[in-house]
Amino acid sequence: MDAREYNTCVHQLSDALFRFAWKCTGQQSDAHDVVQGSFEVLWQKKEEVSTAKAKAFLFQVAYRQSIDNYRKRSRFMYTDAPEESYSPVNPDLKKVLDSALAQLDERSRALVLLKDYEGYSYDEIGQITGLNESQVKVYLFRARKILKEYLVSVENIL
Amino acid sequence: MIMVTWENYEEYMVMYADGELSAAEEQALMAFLYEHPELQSELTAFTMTKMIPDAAETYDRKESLLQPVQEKKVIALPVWRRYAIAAGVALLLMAGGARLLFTGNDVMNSEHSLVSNTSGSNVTDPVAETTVPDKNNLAANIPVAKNEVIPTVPPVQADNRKGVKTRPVKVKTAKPNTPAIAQEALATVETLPVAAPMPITTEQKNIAVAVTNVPALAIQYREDETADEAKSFVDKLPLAETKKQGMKTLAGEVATGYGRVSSFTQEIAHSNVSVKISRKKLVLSF
Repeated sequence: MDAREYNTCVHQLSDALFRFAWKCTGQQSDAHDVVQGSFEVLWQKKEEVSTAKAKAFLFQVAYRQSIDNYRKRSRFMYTDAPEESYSPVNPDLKKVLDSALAQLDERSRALVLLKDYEGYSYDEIGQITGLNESQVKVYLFRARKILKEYLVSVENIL
Repeated sequence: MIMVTWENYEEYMVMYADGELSAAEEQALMAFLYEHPELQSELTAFTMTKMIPDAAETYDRKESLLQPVQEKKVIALPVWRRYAIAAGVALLLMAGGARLLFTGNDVMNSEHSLVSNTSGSNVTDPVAETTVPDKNNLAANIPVAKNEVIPTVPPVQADNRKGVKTRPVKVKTAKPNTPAIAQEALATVETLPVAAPMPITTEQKNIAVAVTNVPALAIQYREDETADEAKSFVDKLPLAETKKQGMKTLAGEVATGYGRVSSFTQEIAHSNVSVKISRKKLVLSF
C-alpha cells in the first residue's frame, strides 16, 4: 500500500471506524484517539497490509485500542447511555438503541457493532477480534438477549 | 438433522437476526414458529436489536490522517499555447525535412566529387575521361572553335562520328586545370576539319555556333557539380550571394532547432515523462 492508497483508506474508512470506536468507547474524544492510533498503525504497516485487507486491519486495531481504552477508564464512563436520553417523552429509536448498547460490556458491544454496522460474518468477526467462531456466536447470543430484553422493557415502559 | 427446540430456538432466532442461518436452518426455524406462533413477537424483538449506523456521525479530522503524496506534476497550458506548441513542432519537423533535402544534395555532391577525384587521380575511367572536360579549357577553346574550326567543319558532325551526340567538343583526357590537356583538346578539335572537309554555308555556320555554345554551358554546369564538393543546393540557385548566405543561415538555424527537438524527443522516449493532449489541456506528466 502506498501513500495514495492509504489516503484513499482514510477517506473511505475513517467515518465507519470513528462510529465504531465511538460506540465502543462511549466517548467521542476516545474515538478520535482510537481512529488516529489505528491509522498510525496502518501507516506504519503499510508495506505489509494490502488495500483489500486494510479495512479488517483497521477494525482489528481499533477493536483492541477501544477495549484497552475502555478498560483503562472507569467501566461506567459510557456517556452515550444517560438515563435521561431515553426519556419516555422522546423515545427516539436511535437513543433507545444507544442506551441498549450501553448495557453491554465492551467486547459484546464491539461484536454487535462489527456485525450490525459493518456486516461482518461470525467468522470475519472472529478474525478481527481474535476469537473463534463459537465464541463469537456465544458473545453475540448473550448480547442480543440483553438488547432484546432492554428494548422490550423500554417498550413496556412506553 | 436440524432440530429447533424450546431449548435452542433463541439461538436460532439470534442467528436468523444476524443472517447466519443456512437455508435449511431457516426453514427449520420457520417450521418451529409455525407450530408456535406465540414466539413470532420474540423473533421480531431480536431483529429489532440490530444497530443502525448514523451516517451523520462522521470523522471530521481526516486531514490530520492524510499522508503527503508525491503528486505528478501537471502543467496545464491554455488552448492557444497548445496550438502554438503544436505548430512549432510541426514547423521544426518541416525544417527537419528541409535539412534532409540539403543533406541529400551534399551526399549527391559527395558522390560526384568521388567521380571527379577518380578522374583527377589519373585512373583510366573512360566515362570520366570523355564526359568531364575542363572548364577553363572549354572557355578558352570555344572562341577558337568559332573562329577557326567552324568554317571548316561543325563539331556536331565530329561528335556524331564518334557516337556522342550531346558532346560537340570531344576531349580525350580531361585533367582539370591542365594547360597541356587544353592544348591537346584544341589540337584535337583543330584536326577534325582535316578528317572531314565539307563546304559550309552561312546558315550552317550560325547553327554551328549555337550548338557549340549550348553544350559548352551544359558541360560547364556539370563541371561545377564535380569541382566543388561543398556546394549545396542553395549554391546552385540563381540568387544573389547575400540571399544565398541568408538562406544558409536560416537553414543552419532550422537544423539546430531540429536537432534540439530530436534530442528532446529521445529524452522523452527514454524517460517516464508522458505527454497527453486532452480537450483543453496539454498535460505533461513526469
